[in-house]
Amino acid sequence: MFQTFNANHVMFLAAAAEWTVALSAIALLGGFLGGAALAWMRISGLRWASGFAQGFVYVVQGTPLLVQLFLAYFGAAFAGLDVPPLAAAAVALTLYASAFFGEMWRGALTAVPRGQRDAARALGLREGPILRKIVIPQAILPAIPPTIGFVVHLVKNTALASVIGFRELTRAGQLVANATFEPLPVFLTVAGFYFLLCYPLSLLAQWLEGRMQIGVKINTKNEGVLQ
Amino acid sequence: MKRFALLLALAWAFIAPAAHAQSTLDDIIKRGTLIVGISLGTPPYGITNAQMEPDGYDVGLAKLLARDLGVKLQIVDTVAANRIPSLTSNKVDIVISSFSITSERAKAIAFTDTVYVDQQVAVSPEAVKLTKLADLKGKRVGVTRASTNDIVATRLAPEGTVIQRYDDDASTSQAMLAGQVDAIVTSRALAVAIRDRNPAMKLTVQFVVSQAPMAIGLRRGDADLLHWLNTAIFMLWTNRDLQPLQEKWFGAALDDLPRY
Repeated sequence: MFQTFNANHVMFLAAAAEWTVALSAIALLGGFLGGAALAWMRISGLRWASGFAQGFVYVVQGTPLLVQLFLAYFGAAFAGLDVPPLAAAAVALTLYASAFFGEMWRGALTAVPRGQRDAARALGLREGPILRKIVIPQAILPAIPPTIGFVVHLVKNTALASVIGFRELTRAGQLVANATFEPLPVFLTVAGFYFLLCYPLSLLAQWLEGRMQIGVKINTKNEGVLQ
Repeated sequence: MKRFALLLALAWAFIAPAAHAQSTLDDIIKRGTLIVGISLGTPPYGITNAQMEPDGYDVGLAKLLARDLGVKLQIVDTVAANRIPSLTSNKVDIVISSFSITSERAKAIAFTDTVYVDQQVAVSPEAVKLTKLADLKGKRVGVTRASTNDIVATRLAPEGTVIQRYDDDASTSQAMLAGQVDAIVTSRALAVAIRDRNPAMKLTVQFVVSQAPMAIGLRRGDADLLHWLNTAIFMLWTNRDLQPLQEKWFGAALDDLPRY
């Protein structure tokens, strides 16, 4: 009844890895937009926007992703919406990523010394340009390491989409394991694929961090000149 | 005007499911597709074959039903724990997924007549002495989460049994092969296959824990579809369509399928 784990199975896993990449890409893109919106709402000074963003973050960070996926798939069906597994997983992961990116970036934005804003205001800049030209450029660098760290986390978390029948890398691994009954080599291969996806991201983080150090050096030099 | 449109949309949201509710059988024929929930990680019921196509006893039965309905078959990979939600949330028309009949489950969904009767057996390496349920006391027993073997083991095992739950059958058997558990409770067909696959472990089917009659699951209150499915099962059995499938996947065909 059982097959032996072979090259065909590895190809099957590789094809499923493409879905892991696709799902990660959708969640990332959505998460970047959603996170930017949430971070802006948090620092906008508008009470309703800030309150909404905070509530959203509490709910998403306070519930397991597994439950969110379940609700997006089966819950939506009870509300009369027929969503395919890919759409449900994309929505759930997008909301999840938005909440975490939003908080990370809010932290980076508020870490820019308050005096910078005050000085810009004193120079007659409006709020828009202050954010765009003064605050955001200084917040980007410290936001990079946690952002990349979370991207790696997100790629691996797409594995949870297997509970709603979305055939990504982990579900494909389960299927092959149950067709061969050799879970050990199968899941080692699955782990290998995840490593191939995540390791370049870690390298990217390292490289960017290196660049950030250069940035910091230049900044201190400039500060010295200004003083 | 806008408010009126909104009201209309709301009203439609309530009417639409009602209009939908006539019979899934009509929907299937009109749609031209039978949507079946099957776990493809549950050998020998649902697996992926060497061509990476769905296969197994449940898949074979689904193909026969689609053939008799004259419609195409669409298989939705459904893990054991999602079988009932998939039905109640209209994600699938029917579930054929080593679905054991229990009166508890029958409160949420409806079952057809049986399509197979499996046995849940306790399997362990020869060295572990097990002859009856009471011997499980103090032992670590592996089962597959939310499956029938989980339900029967949880209900029947004596107090002091350490039940450990895994996500699929491959993991459950691996736990025993790796010595994480002393024994597992699983279906006889699978137990025999695992034993033959690992001769070095000297695995033994120790005793039968319970009988597990399996059926097709569908939404409650759909008498039309239920009746058609029971008719189809009866005729598949009478015309000897099901027996070769059972021989292929379980090694032998049953003498009869219980009906109720």
